[in-house]
Amino acid sequence: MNGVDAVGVLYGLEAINAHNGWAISIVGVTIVFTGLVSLSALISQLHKLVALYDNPGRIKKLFASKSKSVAKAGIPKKHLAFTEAQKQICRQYNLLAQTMDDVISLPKLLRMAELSGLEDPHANISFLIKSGILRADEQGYFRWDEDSFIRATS
Amino acid sequence: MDSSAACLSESIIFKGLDAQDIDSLVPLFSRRTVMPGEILARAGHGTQFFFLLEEGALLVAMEEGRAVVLNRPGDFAGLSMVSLNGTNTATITVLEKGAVWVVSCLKILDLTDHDTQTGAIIMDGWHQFCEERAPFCLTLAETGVT
Repeated sequence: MNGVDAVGVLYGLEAINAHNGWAISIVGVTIVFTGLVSLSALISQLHKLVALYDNPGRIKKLFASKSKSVAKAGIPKKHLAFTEAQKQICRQYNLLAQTMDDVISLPKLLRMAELSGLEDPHANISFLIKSGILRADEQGYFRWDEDSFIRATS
Repeated sequence: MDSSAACLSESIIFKGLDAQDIDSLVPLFSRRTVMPGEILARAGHGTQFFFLLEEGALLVAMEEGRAVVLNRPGDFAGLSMVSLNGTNTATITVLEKGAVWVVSCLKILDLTDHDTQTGAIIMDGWHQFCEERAPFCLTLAETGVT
């Protein structure tokens, strides 16, 4: 008989069918594929871990901002609906802010916006302040509020 | 706002004054509409005017990259925030279209320099304003103009 030898041992496709070979192979492939995807995701994020290792101060800051966020959580925030153009403005200024230190000098940001040829830099900086994305500290400098920025552009 | 009186009454700096004092200040102020990008005062130039905000937003850019954004009606770009010994220490730029009430710095100096109740009230209001909006300005000279 096809797939069975003289002593009745199955081989070939019959053997696979008889012992759930297809199901086992699908499970195997799925496990391997999932593992590889997880591994590649992990590797793609490794640079963040390396950056934290290089600059341990950021870990402290991360926890500080987390606790601030928790403290703020009780205060209901005003949610503004941003138009696509306004979201684009936020992204452009975020790029400029990233080139500066943690504390932002507003006159410098304005000058950079002008040099970059961004439209209406004065009105747009005022808009970023009103929307809470740029926040003044007590020393005359400003900070980029990442939470407000993410909320605004998401 | 119909007149500077309404804006003065709304300002932390001047709202402590009684109606009669505010009425006497009104003629000192003249209204000016402002457009984004307009520069009202430049650092290093002689101080001529201070500005009381009615509407819009002003950027007061100081030394070492510090800045204050004034965007509430009644905010005052003046005294030690913008001036020291008769020279502007800050550049005032308009961020948002609006209107300001312009006042001669010497007229304000006259009021604050003399040992009068009006002067004391204005300086109290000024301290309160700085504490709230720009605490680092309090370390500067009292009036900024001598």
